[in-house]
Amino acid sequence: MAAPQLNRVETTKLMKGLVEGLYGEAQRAHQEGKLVAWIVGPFPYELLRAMDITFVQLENYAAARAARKVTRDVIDAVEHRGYSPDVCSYTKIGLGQAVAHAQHTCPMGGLPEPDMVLCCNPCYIMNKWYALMVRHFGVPCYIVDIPYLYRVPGRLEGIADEERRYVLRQIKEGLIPFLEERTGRRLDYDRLREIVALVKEAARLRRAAYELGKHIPTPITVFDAVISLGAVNVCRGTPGSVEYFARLKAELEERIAQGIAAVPNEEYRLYWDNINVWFKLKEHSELFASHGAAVLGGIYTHATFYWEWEQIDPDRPLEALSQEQLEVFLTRNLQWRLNFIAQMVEEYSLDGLLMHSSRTCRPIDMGQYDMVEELERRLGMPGIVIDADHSDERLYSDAQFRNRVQAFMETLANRKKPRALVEIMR
Amino acid sequence: MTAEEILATFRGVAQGFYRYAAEGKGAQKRPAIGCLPMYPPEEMVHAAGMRPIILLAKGEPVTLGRAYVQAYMCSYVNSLVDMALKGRLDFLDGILLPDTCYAIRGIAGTLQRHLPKMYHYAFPLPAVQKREVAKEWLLAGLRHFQKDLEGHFGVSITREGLAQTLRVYNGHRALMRRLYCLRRRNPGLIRVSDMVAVVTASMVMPKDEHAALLVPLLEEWEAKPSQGDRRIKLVLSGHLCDDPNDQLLRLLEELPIAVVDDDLYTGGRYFTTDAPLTEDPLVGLAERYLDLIPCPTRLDLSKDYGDYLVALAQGSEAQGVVMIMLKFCDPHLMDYPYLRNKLEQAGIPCLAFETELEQMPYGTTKNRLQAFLEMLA
Repeated sequence: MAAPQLNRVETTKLMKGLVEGLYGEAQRAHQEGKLVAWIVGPFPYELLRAMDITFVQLENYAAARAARKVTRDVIDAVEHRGYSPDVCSYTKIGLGQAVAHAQHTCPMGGLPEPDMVLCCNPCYIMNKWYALMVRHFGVPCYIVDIPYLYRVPGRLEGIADEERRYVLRQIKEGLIPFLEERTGRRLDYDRLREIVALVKEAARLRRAAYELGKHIPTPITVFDAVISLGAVNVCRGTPGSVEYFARLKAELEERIAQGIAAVPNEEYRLYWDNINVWFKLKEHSELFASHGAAVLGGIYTHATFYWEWEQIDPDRPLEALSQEQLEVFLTRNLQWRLNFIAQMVEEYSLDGLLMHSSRTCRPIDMGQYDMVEELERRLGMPGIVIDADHSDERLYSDAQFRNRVQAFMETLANRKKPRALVEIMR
Repeated sequence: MTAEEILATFRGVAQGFYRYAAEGKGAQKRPAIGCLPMYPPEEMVHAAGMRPIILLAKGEPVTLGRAYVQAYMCSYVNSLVDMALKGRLDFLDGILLPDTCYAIRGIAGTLQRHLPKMYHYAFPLPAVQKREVAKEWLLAGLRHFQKDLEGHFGVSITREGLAQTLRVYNGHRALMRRLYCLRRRNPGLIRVSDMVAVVTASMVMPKDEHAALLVPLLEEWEAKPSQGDRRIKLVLSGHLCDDPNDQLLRLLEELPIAVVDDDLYTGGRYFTTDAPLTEDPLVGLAERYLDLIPCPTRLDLSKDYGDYLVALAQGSEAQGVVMIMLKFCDPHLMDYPYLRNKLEQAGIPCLAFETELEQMPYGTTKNRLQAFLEMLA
């Protein structure tokens, strides 16, 4: 059978340089007299940039190892110490790196030891990961506790003042004084404002680029959207990040103008829930293309990381940073997830829901069966929950995954286009 | 009533937990609010004149729930959703869900969806202990909950009413701590399964009724002289959210083991810390939340859970610790290597079991326990 035709995005080639640059900075940091922070979670490292503190963001690092399929040694190191294999794969890899000092297999050339450990914990597991790191390294640490938003269903709906205040006060009265003590310097608010202005611009361009996916056929699938996340996950606040998304947007606009589709034989458009399977990005992009399916993305790519960029006011940078922490999809309840998916189905003309139930990313997996059932009921939208894992290859069966996808695509083929059903139901 | 009769009462309540819970409603007609583990603000429910009932999962085999909760979530949430779907929770007027961990967070929406007719309240909690800023947020959360509860049920919670509740709860906890103290001195007094039954019963009986039975029990037992006990003394730790497997407790009783202390949820964890009796009782409640018994679900770098377990073992002269962890309980499993190392460094061997919904395999479990005992002897 001929290899499926698909058009991967060119701009993603820039990611390698961007990310390697970041890790290169980290490796040089101590020589240059800079402090190094290890970060767990979606942390407001804009503050660190403003204070010349270099950082390593551990989920990004774990994903990078997973994507390059070099995780065995670090996972083994962690399991030998008595950690259950069911523990979050990101944690296993990040902690494994700490305990094993596995520099020789480190894809980016090794990580410097941290001078401090920092964390934001919209995902519950991050607390534990952070605590383990702190115990291991014995260095100063600070965690910003992020509340789960039980009561908030809507996308932008009133995050309670109490929640906002809780996060903002921790940043102002806890985190910033902590950083100032570590560096012996005051936070340069002007510099922070400049950085946040760049964050806003990159976020604006990212959203504009990803929203070009609404076009039928889409110029971009989740497989490139998720790779591009690196530019906003770890490169926020840099000119490189702005340039990346400007280029991406231009490339996608050009594709639309020229009628180039990401999946040339696009017949189905799908939602993807949870993180991708990092070590199977290429294979999965080909698998779905072979079924004529363009996977657009979901919560991981189209929410979070300053998706609601208009709310950023660079003159009130701390408010912007707190707001972002509260809006990470990890803080969102079932109702919010349902509304989000329904909205994305509508805006991106989706035909089906693919819910990746990651064996070790259980927080995000919870409620997926309810989501599939509810959206079937509300929108006549077919959905499937597929077991895999985001980073641990041992917890993934390729044969099983392909079978499930096959079965799902057959279901889609046998159903009328849901859009027609929705019209009838109105 | 004699101590034996009182124990039998508690045992009966624990064994018929949900029957008792549902019947209790009929007799008194006070709304029943099911509270999930581990730290629900049940005092607020009590102060509102309603009945808080801790929702233990009680190890029921999962059938209907399988369609909504992945098998690789902890057995507690698997069971609870299953029970909800089977109608076992229909007698409740509401559900109070504290922000314990991601698994409990994750079923909040599922429970609301499948039990749409009842009141639902999810109570946010700070994961990081002891911060002033967390106290402010908690207080706001408690006030919000109070108003919501009052508004929904048309009740009024007065300051004096809540203060009285805190006194009742603290008083009850003090009695339970006395009982635990007795057991440390004289482990032969009570079997481990009966101790678990005593605490379990307190999770569904009104606290003052339970306390009224504890008083004569304690009086009778405190008068008894200490008997020499030749069995090996152990601490039972874990099962942070659910009662321990019956099979394990029976095995512990079959072998020459005296459980001298524990930090089970249906045990020490439930009553170790009091609420300070502050002028504003809400402040007392908030302060209690910020200084809980060390817990894998809370982050308090100043209070080490490993040190706590060592102290628990040393304080009760235990020779070892048997640790039971729910499979897929991330907070506990991620702490385990560290806890085991801390205990071993203090010369306290630790034997750990990961438990699932299914029965613990009798033979293997017994072998492991016997080998552990031989090592300790």
